Amino acid sequence: MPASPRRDLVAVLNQAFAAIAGWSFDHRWVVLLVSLGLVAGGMVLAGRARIDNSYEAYFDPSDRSYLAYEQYREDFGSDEISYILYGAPASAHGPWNLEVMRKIERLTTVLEEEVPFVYEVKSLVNAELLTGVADGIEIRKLSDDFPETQEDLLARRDAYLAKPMLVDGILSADADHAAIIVKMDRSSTDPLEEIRVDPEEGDALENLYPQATDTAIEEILARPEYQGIVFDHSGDVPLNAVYNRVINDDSSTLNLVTSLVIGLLLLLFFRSLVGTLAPLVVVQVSVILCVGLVVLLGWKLDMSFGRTPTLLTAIGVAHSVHILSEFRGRFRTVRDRREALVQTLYLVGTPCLLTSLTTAAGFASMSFVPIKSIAHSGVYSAFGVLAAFVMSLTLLMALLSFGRSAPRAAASSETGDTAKGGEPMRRMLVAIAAFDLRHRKAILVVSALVFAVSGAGLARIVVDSNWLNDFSDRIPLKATTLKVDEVMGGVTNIIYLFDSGEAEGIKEPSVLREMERVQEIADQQDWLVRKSYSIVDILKDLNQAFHGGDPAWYRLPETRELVAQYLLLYEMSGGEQAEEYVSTDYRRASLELRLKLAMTSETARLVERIDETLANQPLEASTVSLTGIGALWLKLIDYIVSSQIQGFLLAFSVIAVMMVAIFRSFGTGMISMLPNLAPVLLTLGVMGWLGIELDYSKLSIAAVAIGIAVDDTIHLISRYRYEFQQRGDYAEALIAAMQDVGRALVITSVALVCGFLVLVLSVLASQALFGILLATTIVTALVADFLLMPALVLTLHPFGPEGVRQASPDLQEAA
Amino acid sequence: MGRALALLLLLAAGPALAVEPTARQIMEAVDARDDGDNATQKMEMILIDKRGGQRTRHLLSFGRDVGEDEQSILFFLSPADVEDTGFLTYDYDDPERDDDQWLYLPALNRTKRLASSDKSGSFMGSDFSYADMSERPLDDYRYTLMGETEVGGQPVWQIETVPVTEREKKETGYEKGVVFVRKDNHVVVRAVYWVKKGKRLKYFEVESLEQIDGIWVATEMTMTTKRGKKTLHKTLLRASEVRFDQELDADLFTLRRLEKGP
Repeated sequence: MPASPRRDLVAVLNQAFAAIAGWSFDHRWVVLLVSLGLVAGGMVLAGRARIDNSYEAYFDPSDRSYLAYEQYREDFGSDEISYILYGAPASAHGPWNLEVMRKIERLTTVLEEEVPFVYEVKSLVNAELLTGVADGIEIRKLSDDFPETQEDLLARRDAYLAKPMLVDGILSADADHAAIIVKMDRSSTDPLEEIRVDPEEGDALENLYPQATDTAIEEILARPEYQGIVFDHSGDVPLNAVYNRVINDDSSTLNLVTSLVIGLLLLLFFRSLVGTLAPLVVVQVSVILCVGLVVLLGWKLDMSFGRTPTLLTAIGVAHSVHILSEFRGRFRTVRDRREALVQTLYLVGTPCLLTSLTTAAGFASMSFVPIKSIAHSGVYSAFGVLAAFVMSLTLLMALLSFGRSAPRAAASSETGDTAKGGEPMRRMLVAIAAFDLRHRKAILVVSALVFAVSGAGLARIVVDSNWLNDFSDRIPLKATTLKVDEVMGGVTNIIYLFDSGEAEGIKEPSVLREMERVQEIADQQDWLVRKSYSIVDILKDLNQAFHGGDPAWYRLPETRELVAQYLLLYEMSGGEQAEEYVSTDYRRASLELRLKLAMTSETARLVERIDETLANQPLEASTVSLTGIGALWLKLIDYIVSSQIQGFLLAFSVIAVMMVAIFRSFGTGMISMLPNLAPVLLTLGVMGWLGIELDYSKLSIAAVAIGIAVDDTIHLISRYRYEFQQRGDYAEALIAAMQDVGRALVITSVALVCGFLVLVLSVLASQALFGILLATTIVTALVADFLLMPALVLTLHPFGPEGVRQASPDLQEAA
Repeated sequence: MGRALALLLLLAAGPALAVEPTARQIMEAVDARDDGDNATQKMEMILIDKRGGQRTRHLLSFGRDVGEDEQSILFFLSPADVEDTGFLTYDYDDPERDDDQWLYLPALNRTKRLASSDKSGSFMGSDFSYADMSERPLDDYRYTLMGETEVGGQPVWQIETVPVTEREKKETGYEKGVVFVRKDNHVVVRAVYWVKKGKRLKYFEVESLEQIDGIWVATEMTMTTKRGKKTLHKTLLRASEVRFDQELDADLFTLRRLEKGP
C-alpha cells in the first residue's frame, strides 16, 4: 500500500456507496418493493394535496401590510373587481343608445344574479345620480324610471357627464365608452375554504374564485342577446383567473413535453430503455414524494411550488446520467454487472451525495426567509433533492441490476462508446482539457474580465416587475387590458385608509380636508392615477346639489353638523355609495386610487411622492395607512425580491461552507464556488446591460441555477481530485476527469437545455424567459466548469503538490 | 278603527280559524293586529359592525293613524351633530302612492323632501330597510304555511312569504322570507329574509315583547345581516317610554312643527 494513506471522509463514503450498490443489487426485489410502497404512499398523499393560488400563501398572518389589508376588508369588503369596458360603435350614440342601454340594464341584473362571488354590479343603469331639486335633493338611477325614448335618455346623458365621480369611472368623457364594474365578495387573499363555488366539488381551478367568476362573466357577455356591444373584460378577476389557468394548463403540458424531450435525448445518448426511463422515473418519484411531504406537513401547493418539478428534473436527471454514464463504462471494462454497479457508486456516489447535500442545505437555508410560501418551498425542495438522491442510489440501482450479467462480447465496445457519447465527444473533451492546459492564464484573464463586466452590469440592474409582462402577446387578455387601460384605466388600485382615531370622527371637516389634500396630490399624479374615489367626492357633490348645482359649491361643507346632516340626508334619500368609503362607525374612511397597470417601481414612486408631501405637511387630524390589492402586490413583490436575494445569498454561503468542509480545504472550497457564481453573475450582468429588469419570477431562477451549477462543479472537482490523488499530476488528472465526468456533464447539460427550452413555447412570457435563462445558466455553468474551474485548479494547485501519489483505496478494493 | 274591526271579524270567524287557519288568514291577522294609536316613544338605534364597533342614535318618535294611512315624526336627540334633525313621514295605504317624506336639517335651517321610491334602502344606515319599517301590502305576497314550532317557548306558525309582484320585489329587495307568528297575539317575533343583492340574509328577532296599554309592543328588536354564517352588520332598536292614545298636538305632524323641533 502506498505511503500516507489518508483515509479521509470521501474515501469512507466511497466505500459505503460501493456497499450500498452491492446491497441494492443483491436485494433488488426488496428495493423495488420498498420503492413501490413509497410511491404508492406518496401518491395516496399527493392525491390529497390541495392547491392554494391565493396571495395569502405569501404572507405571514402577522405581517403588517397583510393586517392592514384585512382591516380594510373588514370595513369595506373586497376591493377586487371585474372591469367590463364596452362600446357600441355600430349604434347611434354608442352606450347612450336606448336599445344598448336596455341591454345593459338586463346585463347588470344577469351579472348580479348569475355570477358567483359577486357583491354588486355597478353600471350606468344603477349609478347614483345626485341632483338638487326645488325642495330637496334627489338620488336617481336610470333603472328607477327607465327612459322611454332615445331623446329622454340623451337629455339625461349630460347630467351624468357632469358628475366627476362617474366620468372615467363608468363612462368616458367623450361618451363613446362606458363600463360595468363587477365588485367582488371575495379576494385573492381568501383561504381556499371560502372560494369554492360548490363546496363538494373540490379544488379544481374552475370550481374556485376567481376562475369560476371569470368563466361565468365571459359566458354571459358572449350571449347573442348582447350582440352589437363590444366588451373588453379585464380587472383583477380575469387577470388572476387567466394567470392561474395558464400556470396550471401550460405548465403541466410543457412539463410533459420537457420530460419527453429529455427522454428522447437520453435515448439518443444511451440507446436503452432503462437509460431513458430510469432518470425520468427517479424524477417523477421524487416529485411525488415531495408533494407527499407537503401534504404530511399540512401545507398546500402554492405558487412557489411551480419551480420544484423543474429543479428536481434538473437534479434527478443529473444524478441518473452520471450513474448511467459511469456504469456503461465500467460494465464494458469489468464485464460483470454487479461489479460494474459497485464501482460506479464507488466513484459517483459521493459526488451525488455531496451535490444533494449542498443543494438541499442551500434550500433548507431558505426556510428562514419570512415569506411563508418561500420558506415552505425551501423545506420541501430540500426534501425533494434528497429523495431524488436516495432514489438514484436505490431504485436506479435496482433497475440497472436487471439484464445480462456480462455485456455481449461483440457489441461491448460499440455499446460503451455509445454510452459515453462516442469517440467524437471523447476527442472534444480531451481537446477542451488540452485547451485548459495551454491557455489557463488567458482563461483566467478572460474570466476576470467577464466577471468585471458582469459586475458592472449587475450594478445597472433594475429590480422591477409588471405583472402584465408575465403574459405573452398571444394571450388576448393582455391586449384587452392594455386597451381598457388606454380608454378608461384603473385596472389596479391602491388605497389610503384614513383613521380619525374616534367613532364619528370622519365627519370632522379637519379630517375631511386632510383626505381632500391627499386626494388632490394623488389626482395630480395623472401619469399613473386614473381615478380616485372617497367620501370627499360625495360630500362635495351633495354640497353642490344643495346649492342649485352651482359648480362653485363643489367643495367640502364647512361644519361638522353640516357634514353629518348632509350624510344623513344622503343616507335617507337612498344613497348607498358612501358606505363604500366610510367604515360603519365613521372612524375610518378610504381613499381609493385606481391606477394604470405599470411597473411596480412607478407605483412605488407614486407612494413615495404622496409620502413626501405628507412628510412636508404632516396629517394632524388623522393617521393614514396604505393598503389595497395593488399595495399588497407592491409589498409582495418587494418581499419576494428581497427574500429571494436573501435566500440565494444564504444558500450560496451555506454551500460555500459545505464545500470547504467537504474538501477540508479552503482553497478547493472557494475554487468550486467561483464557477458557481459565474452563471448567476453573467446572467444578471447581461440583463443589466440589456436593460432587462429583474422581476420576481426571474429571480427565482437564481436558486435553481445554483442547484444545477453546484452539481456540475462537484462532480467534476471530485473526480479531478480523485484522479489527481491517483496520478499526482494536475494535467493528467484533468484529462482523465474530463473524459469520464465530462461526458456525463455534457449529456446532462444537453438534455436539460433542450428540455427547458421547451418552455419557450409557453404563453406566459415569464415562463418562456424562465426557460431561456435556465438554459443559458446551464450552458454557462458548464462552460465555467470546463474552463474556469480547471484553470483555477491548474494555477492554484489546491489538491496539494504534484508528484506525490496520495493513494486512495482503489476500485478493486471497493469491490 | 279599521284594523280593530278586521280583527273582530277575524275572531268572529274563530271556529273555522281555530281548526286550520291558512297562511293568508294568519297574515291578515298580523296585518290587522292593533298596534296602537297616537303612539309616542323614545328610540335608541344601535348600529353594530362585525367587530362589535357601535354607533348609537337616540330619537324621539311620535306616530298616529289617519284612516288607513300612517303619519310619523322623528326627532334626533343624539349624536350632537344631528340633534334636532327631524324626519316627517306620511305613509299612504295605497300602494300606488309614494310616501311623502321630509327631512329638516338644522345646520342649513332647511327642510328637504325625500324622494323615496327605493324602499329596499337602509333606514338611516341600519339593517332595517324602509320596507321593514312599514306594513307590506298583503296582496303582493304568496304565503305558505310551513309548519308550527316554538320561539322563546311560545307556539308560533312558520310561514313562507314570497313577493309576487315586481313592484314589491323591487321595493323590498327580498327574494323571499320566513316569518314566525306567535299564535296567541299574532306578533311576528322572528323572521328571515333572503336579500337579493349580495346574496345576504337578514335575521329579525324580537328580543323583548311587552304589553303596554293592552297593546303588544316589541320594545327591543334586532336585525342582523349575514352572509352565510358570518355576521356582517347588526342593528338593535330599543323603545322606551312607550305611550299610546296620547293627546298629540294637531299640528305635530306638519312641516312647521318639524322645523320647530320637539
